[in-house]
Amino acid sequence: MPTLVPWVPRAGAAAATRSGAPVSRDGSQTLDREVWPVIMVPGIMGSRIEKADRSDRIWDPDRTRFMMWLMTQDPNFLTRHYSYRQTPGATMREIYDSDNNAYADSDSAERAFGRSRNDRNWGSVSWEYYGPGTLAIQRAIASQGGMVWCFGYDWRRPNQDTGLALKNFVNDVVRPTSPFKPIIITHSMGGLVTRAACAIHGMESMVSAVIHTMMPTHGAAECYGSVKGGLMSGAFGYLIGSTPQEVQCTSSGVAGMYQLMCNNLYPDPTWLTLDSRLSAHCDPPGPYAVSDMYRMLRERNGMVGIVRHEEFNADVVNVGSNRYVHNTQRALRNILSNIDLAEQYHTSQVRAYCHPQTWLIAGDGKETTVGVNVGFTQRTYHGTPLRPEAPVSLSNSTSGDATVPLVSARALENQSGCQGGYVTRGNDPHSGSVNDSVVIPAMIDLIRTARARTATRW
Amino acid sequence: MKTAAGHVQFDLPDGWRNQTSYLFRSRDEELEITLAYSPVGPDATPDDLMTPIAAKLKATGYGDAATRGTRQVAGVPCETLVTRAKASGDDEATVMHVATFIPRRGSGATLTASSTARHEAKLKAAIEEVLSSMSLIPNA
Repeated sequence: MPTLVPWVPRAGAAAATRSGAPVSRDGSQTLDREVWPVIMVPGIMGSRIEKADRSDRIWDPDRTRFMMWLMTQDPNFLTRHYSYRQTPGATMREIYDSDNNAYADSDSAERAFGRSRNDRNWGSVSWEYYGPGTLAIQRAIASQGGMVWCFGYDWRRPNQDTGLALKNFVNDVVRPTSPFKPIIITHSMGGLVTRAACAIHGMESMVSAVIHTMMPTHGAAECYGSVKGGLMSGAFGYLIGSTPQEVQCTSSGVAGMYQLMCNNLYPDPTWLTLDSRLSAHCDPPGPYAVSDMYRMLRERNGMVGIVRHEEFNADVVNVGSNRYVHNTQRALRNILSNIDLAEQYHTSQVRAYCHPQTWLIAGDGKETTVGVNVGFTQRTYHGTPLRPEAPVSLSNSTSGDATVPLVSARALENQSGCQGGYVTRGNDPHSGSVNDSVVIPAMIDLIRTARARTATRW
Repeated sequence: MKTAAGHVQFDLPDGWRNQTSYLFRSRDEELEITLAYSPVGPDATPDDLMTPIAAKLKATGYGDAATRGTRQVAGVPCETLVTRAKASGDDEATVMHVATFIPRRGSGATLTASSTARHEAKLKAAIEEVLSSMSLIPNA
């Protein structure tokens, strides 16, 4: 069975980021083959989204001025703003530079496709996070007919919904442009989107191959730790808050994030340790086990559960520093709905699904949260015990890409559909890995391999 | 409850909250000022609002060189912050001024003003004019 091997750049691989397009005598570049599509599916927070009525931005890492303003907004506003239910969104369509001018396509090999980058939906993903990597892939494969598309999406929505949108994108937008079924390359949560599209919505037969990079297949320990503990680190740096309540409120509308929490199939069951004294104070009482993760997330006293329901049911929560969030009953309903959707995704709809032609790239060697400890404290006031607390602490190791533990990124390795892949070291952390000079040639290598071995026609 | 909105003021039914964010742009649209209100506790201070903002800006790389200060605005204490940031794809840096104050018990105000670095002097003058001329609407 193919397994992941350490990525060692081969001779010439470093040059893969340069254009290899053949040049004719008049200087124009030419295409000598049929066009075959590659679709980049980004991770959480990697897509640019605006309000559904196109009136204003919701999330746009490419617009520094907007992002700086967004960081000044209060948690009451952000709780609504980041909720796909309260603030419906749509992906942005145009690539702009910082002076609001549309980017011109500059590569002649690309121009030969007759479709601009905006036509190929590049404007929907963050150039800051994905631009250099996507461009490097495009330049490396353009001369062979490889045409890169991007599939940005509203990352606040559940991956089941986004999976359906991806399938429709493949069928309605990409399919008419090529006789070949696309190769899909994913980053992080984009892998969960793609697997949902295949496992739930019937996209499996519509793609030639899937390449997952840095995928939290069965979750990442940090996601549970960040939301429960209100910890300011990692992939959710932009959804941060200084207290658990603030993070719980502002992330309550982000269903996708709940699907990134470790699920029942997480390969290392030791990722979570719970103080045994917590059980008696849980509602319903414990014990709780990682093999029943969703029962744990729903626990009502917030001992092992994600939130304390009584606090949110008061409909206004002090999230710290005298700042309040209103309508927290609605936030709690959203959280519980998010947990339901995550459970459906991981325990019945997708589970360990693996496309029959799957390659993996996993990052290693970075300080990564691999474990969460939920402790127990109970202070007293003049001898009277106060409500117990469940402090969260994280444990790290270098086994991962700074966000996704290696065991989760490699979790599909033993599935029959896995054709192998690479473990990269020395590259940028998780969020920046697609643009990294170590990872880019590995992605190009696997795209070429997949193209050579499994490209299929419609 | 008497509430002001732009050129008018009116009574809001009990329990209603003003969740508007006010947006002002300069004639050339290079400068932008927003004013947003947020629910806060009865003892909230301007620092309660500004400290989390400063932490968030720092954690996201937008506040590494931020400078903070204090002043009076409309007769009440105010926390200020000035920061600048330039992402890899930006031609020039963005400058942002932030001011937080408590105009009324239970309501916090966050004012932001931003522009590109080339308009920094105009931005500084504009924010100073706005803050120094600000007054509270009685009973609103």
